[in-house]
Amino acid sequence: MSTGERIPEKKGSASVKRLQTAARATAYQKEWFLGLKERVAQGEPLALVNADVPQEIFRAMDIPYVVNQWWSAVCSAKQMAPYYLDLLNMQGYRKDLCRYCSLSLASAFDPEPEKGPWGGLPKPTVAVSRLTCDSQAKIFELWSQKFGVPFYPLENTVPTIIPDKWWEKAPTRWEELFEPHRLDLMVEDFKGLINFLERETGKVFSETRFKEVMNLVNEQAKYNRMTRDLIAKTRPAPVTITDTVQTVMVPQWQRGTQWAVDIAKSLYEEVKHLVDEGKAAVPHEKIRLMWVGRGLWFNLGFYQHFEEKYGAVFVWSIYLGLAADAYARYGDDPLRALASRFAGMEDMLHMPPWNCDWYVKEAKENGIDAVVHLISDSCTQGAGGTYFVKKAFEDAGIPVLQLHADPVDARSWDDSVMTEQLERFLQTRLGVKPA
Amino acid sequence: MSRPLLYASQAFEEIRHAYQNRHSAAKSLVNGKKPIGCLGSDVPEELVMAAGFLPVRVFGSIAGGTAMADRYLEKGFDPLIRAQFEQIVNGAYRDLDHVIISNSSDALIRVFYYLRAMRIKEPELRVPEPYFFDFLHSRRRMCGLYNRERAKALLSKLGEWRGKAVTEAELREAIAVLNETRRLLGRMAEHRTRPEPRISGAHALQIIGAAMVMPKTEFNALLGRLLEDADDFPPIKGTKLYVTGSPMDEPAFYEVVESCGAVIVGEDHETGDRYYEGLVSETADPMDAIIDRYHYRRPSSSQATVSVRVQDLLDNVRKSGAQGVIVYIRQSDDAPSWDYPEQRKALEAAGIPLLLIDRQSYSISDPVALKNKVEAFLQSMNGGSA
Repeated sequence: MSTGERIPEKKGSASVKRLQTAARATAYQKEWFLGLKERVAQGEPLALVNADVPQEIFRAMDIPYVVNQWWSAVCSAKQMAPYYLDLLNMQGYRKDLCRYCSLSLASAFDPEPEKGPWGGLPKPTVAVSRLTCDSQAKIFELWSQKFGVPFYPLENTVPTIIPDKWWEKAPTRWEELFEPHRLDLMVEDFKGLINFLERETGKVFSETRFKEVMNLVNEQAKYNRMTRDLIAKTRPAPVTITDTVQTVMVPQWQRGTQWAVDIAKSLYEEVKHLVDEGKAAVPHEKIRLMWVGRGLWFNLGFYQHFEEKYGAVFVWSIYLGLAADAYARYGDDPLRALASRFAGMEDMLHMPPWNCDWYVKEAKENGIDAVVHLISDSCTQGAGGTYFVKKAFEDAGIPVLQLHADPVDARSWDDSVMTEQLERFLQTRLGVKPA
Repeated sequence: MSRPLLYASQAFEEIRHAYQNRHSAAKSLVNGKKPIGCLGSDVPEELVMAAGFLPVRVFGSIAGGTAMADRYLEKGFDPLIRAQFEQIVNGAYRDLDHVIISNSSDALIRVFYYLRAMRIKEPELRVPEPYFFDFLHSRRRMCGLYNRERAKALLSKLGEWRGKAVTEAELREAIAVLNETRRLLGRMAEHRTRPEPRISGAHALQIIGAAMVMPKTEFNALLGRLLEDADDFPPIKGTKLYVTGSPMDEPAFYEVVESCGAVIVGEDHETGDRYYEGLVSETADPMDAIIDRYHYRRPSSSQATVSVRVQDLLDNVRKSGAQGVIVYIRQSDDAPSWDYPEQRKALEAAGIPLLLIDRQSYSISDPVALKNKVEAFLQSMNGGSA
């Protein structure tokens, strides 16, 4: 096997940014990353963490961190995933292994890491993951050994109950939602993580700072909820997911900062202004679509073709939906509240009927006409009961198209085939004609 | 006097019969005991036995197809789990009241979610009630204590199912019986790893599999009788191999390999040696002892880190006296695939030849190609002759 070009044939396109807040957010992430590199170059520690690791702890301890899936998305958006994944395969790792969570590891095999996005990832100090699938401990241990740094695995537990309408209970009634025995373990695990970070980085954990961080996250979630609700009730939609995905996720990885709150607030105000002005993202909006599953990170421009050609507008993705419903936690014990945020993430996203009940609720509130569900066949964890998801929507009278593709690996993506599948769905199942 | 063959052993025939009919163990009362399905390698059988039930490991079936499973499981599921799921929803285990599923792999967590969702959303299908035993694998005290509490909850549920709480005496008796099973299987393993093996890998896999579905006292009596004659079984000639990677719940792969002039002397997967290794203390608190045994035994491919798996493989290959290793990995079983590159490096550094048999389906799709591959490997090991 030979590696491909560092920048191979482009398989996707970037989205066109219509919002000032979106441009601010995406511009900031490069500026932030370069600042982070500078801090690390000056001797500060750096943590590599998985998306479902409680980043609030790192924030409270002022430990710079990079999120595995964020870096994956950046590498993918920069069209570097094929090059990196080929490097991983050359090491003997099977081509069809989970790529969303291993792309960052793959980038570590680059003999010229400085040629990576924005000069590449600096050498980390610690690696932290959560054991939510069989591959996590393997990937993170390999990664930590590659850099010669310690690795802390956080446990994952499984709920025994199925409460009704979790989204109504999560902010304040999380103790009954996520079961005391699960929260007890997670709090214990978080204390172990704090001890580990104190020892490995020399940083300290300030309870005062931690409470500030938790308050800021709740503040950010409040604006995200307001934005989601505004989009849900406005026809035609003021923005689409090409406007919101990055604008929500860049500050999501910065949550617990005033900047993240400001961006969430700015997004709400900008959307509100569009609504007040009667401006629509797609004035000829005919149908409203829901994108279920991970973002198509190497091809965020994919969605816009259907908006322009059919007036088929993707108004909903998990990113703003979860940011609105899944993060807010109020209570007197901030570490336990934080545990409940992360105990729930797995249940809400990947466990039927928690996930499908919520999807259908969101579809109804957002006036969704049809659903496109991206299924990554290489990820068991992310599958999340696709049969039950489809059934739940169809029982609610909402048609579903299942697309099979990897969210970061452009090597197997065929744009014309995917476009054709979606166009056929629009035309034959929904009766939509080109505008 | 002629030496008895393994096949002439009445005890082996009875064990093999139980294995070949392993699916039927779930269909009715066995010795008055109601069967309970066990899916995943971390379901503590002691608890099930103590409550007076028969623990029956869920096996897939090549003959059963996977039509129903394909409807519910995504493409990324290991074909073995797909075959097991089919048997739960549309096969041998469909009429069971309960299936206990342990947190032994990510895919099994999904199986629990999906079975539970089926019971809620499609109650007319009448699938068995799944119970999840949330067992953590990191070797930390915190996880051990969590497992202990989860085991107590399971024991309480088992008592509820039979209508009477389980006593400590019942637990201790179950521990003793199952320990005897493990001791006997350990003695059987010695006949695989001795300089001239007397029991093949394919036969061992069937014996171990039978232990997973038979009443343990009955199995113990049969295996005890079989072992009395084992010294007289004819020696098995062949290159000694060790198998790592995906678990196998039927012996076809072993049979093909051993038909090429090899003998499989050990394996690290859950349907082989890992099933019986490690005793439960009979003097300690029973729940502590049970949890310690399952928690701190040999690591599994799906739950251990790569470095732990590499070291464990090296140790076991050396202990078994194997001359080479076959890494057998099924399609979509990602965990052993992550282990493989580092295992290869370590084995090569130790001068131990290895063969990768990758992306396998549940049944052997091309036995001739497989045989050719194994024969070529054995020839390369033996300097040109198999």
